[in-house]
This record gives sequence, structure tokens and C-alpha cells, in this order.
Amino acid sequence: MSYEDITGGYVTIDGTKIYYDHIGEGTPLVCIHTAGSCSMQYHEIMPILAKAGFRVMAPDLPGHGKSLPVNWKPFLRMRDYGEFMWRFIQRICGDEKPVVLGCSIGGNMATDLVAHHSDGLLAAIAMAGGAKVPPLDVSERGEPYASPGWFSFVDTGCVAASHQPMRPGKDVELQWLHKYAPQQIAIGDLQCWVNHDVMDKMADVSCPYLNVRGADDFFVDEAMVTNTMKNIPQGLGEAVFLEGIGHYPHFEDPERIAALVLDFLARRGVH
Amino acid sequence: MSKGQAWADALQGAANESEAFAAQSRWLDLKLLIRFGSAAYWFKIYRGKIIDAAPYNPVTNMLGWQVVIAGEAATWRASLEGVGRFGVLSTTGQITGDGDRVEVERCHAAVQVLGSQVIPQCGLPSDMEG
Repeated sequence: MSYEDITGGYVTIDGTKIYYDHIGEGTPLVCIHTAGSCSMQYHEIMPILAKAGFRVMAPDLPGHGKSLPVNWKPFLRMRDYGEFMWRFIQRICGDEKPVVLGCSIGGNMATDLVAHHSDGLLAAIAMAGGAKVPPLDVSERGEPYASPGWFSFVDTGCVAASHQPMRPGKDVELQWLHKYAPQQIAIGDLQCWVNHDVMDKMADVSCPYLNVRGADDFFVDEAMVTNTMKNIPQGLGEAVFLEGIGHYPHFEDPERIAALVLDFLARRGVH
Repeated sequence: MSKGQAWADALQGAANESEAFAAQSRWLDLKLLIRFGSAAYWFKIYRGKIIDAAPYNPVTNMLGWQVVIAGEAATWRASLEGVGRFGVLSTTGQITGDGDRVEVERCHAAVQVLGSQVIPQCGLPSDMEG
């Protein structure tokens, strides 16, 4: 299996056309990408997980890639974003409970979903995310005329937040993968990153939860993970800290992260 | 010629040999100041080239600047250690860009080339203190 075996589909959620990649058969596993990016960020890890018996799906979040924005506007609150994605998950998974995996805003969204919909999930895995994150308020950069260099800053920041050196060519690929959403949508994503806070809901978690933090990820600090984990009911939460990894674990080292995910899900009796 | 002027000339020469710098500064018309701790250097960038360079003294430089890139001396030294350090230090606000905000945005990619490729090639100025 390779990314050439990935196929795509559309569903209508809240009247909006939403695209998702999918590959494999078996237990549903939904992958949520980072701010301003798209489903292609998961193209290396998806076939590995599919080969292990998962039906792996990766949506383009609204306004990203081939998905239209909801009401032609960005989401500005993570709770609204998470609830929209919950309706997407219910639609594509039907009666089957999925595993949800996400990175960065996707990691926050996976945490939002496990905090509000644990009963409907097999497990949740948050990479470079958690229950509440250090603030990075870039809301004033939402319009291209106000911040004409936004994509230059993203080019720098996404590579800087990754473990160096990256695999050959992956730095440029990562930069391109952050050009699949208009500036307004990407900034909306980051506003959702800032106002995300489910600290008081983590005690409601009732399925296994894994938090993954890379040692070279300066967007996420140790305190954030500690705070995320402290209210999760005993035995359900695990946190791992990975040397040689930055803000994009699944993209930087897909084989290693797939092994980590599969081990976690096997030990937890999920799959 | 002073050591400072020799360093400024060296940086100008190295930048103007860089295809990456030419590409990222092709549409700039900019007076750029770089502060290395207490040392400051002035560059005029125009259409992909640095066309003038000098140590900066506000008493004698009547052209002024639009954008300043600044960091502590220790931070600049750290920028030379390891792959991608300038990107990390500038993304996390340890090396900052300020001045005319629109020009700060427009020159970001060119400054990244200077910080990650050209300055490491030239080394840091000898009058940098701290």
C-alpha cells in the first residue's frame, strides 16, 4: 500500500461540501491536519495504518484543500470547529466508533472531541496539542493586505518547529502543505488554537487518550501536557515525549509514529 | 577601511552572489538595519541586490532605515549553531523584525536568507559586544 491507493470522497455537512481522503478497511481512524494545511499531510502514515487493519480517513478541514468554508467564513472558536467535525465523523463512520488522531490544531480538536464525545470514540491521540495551549494570538494577520508576508512567516515557522535536519525535500513539502488554505482560514485556525480550553472537561474523558509531544516543538511546552493529563481519570491517559521530533510527528517520521499509535491502540485493546 | 566597513562589504558581496537572496529580494526597495547586540549595520537593498552597506551611526547616516532586525549578541552567536537555528530564533521572537510593518512582512523571506545562509557564511561582525 502507498499513497497511490488513497481515494477521495465528498460529504455534505451543514450544507457545506467537505472532502476527505480514505484508504483501507476495518476500524475507522480519522486524521485531522494542522492549521492552514490539508489531508495530504497524512499521506505517508495513512497506508501504514491501513495495512494494520484500519479504515483511515483524513478530511480537508472546512476552507482547506478541496473543502469549502462553512458559510464562507473561517471557524473562530475550537468548540464550534470540534462540533462540526463531530458531525462529519458521525456521517462518515455511521454507527462505528472511530479512533481520532490529530496534530496541532488537529491535536487540540482531538482533545476537544475526547472531552465532549468520549462515549462515541474508541480512543483519541493528540500530537502537538492538548486541553489548553500557550497563547499565540495572530488574529490581526487575517487579511493579506495587513500581513502580506504571512506565508513567508509560515514557511519559516513550520520548518523551524520541526526536528532538523528533516528528510531530504521534506522541508519544502511541509511549506507547500501550508498553502492549502487562504490566509483568513489559516488565521481562523490559529484563533481556534488560542481560545481552545477544555481543561474543565478532561475529567469527563472515558476512552483511552494519548498525548504526543516532540522535543523540538517550541509551540508546545511541558506544562501544557502536564495540565492536559492531570484531570483525566486514572488509567485512561498516556503522554509521550519524543526526542528527534518537532511539531509535525506524523509528517516528520511516519513509520515511528505509526508504530507508536499501533502499540498504544493494541495495549489499550482498541485494535 | 575600518573592520566594520570590511565586514559590511563582505556581507554585501556574499548576499549578491546568492541566488536565493536575489530571488527573495527581487521586489524590495528597502533600507535595512541589523542590530547585533550593540553593533549596527545598514544595508540598502534594491531589486535583488544590496547596493550600499555600512556600519550604522545615526549621527552620520542621513538616509535612515525602514526595517530593523535585532537580537542580543548571544542570540546571534546561537544563530550560527546547528541547522535552522536562525529560523527558530526569529520565529520565537529572540531575533525580531520591527519598523514599517508592511516592509517587515515583505522582506521576511530575504532576511531569512541573510540570517540562515549569508551571515553564517561571513561570520558575525567583530565589534559585536556581549
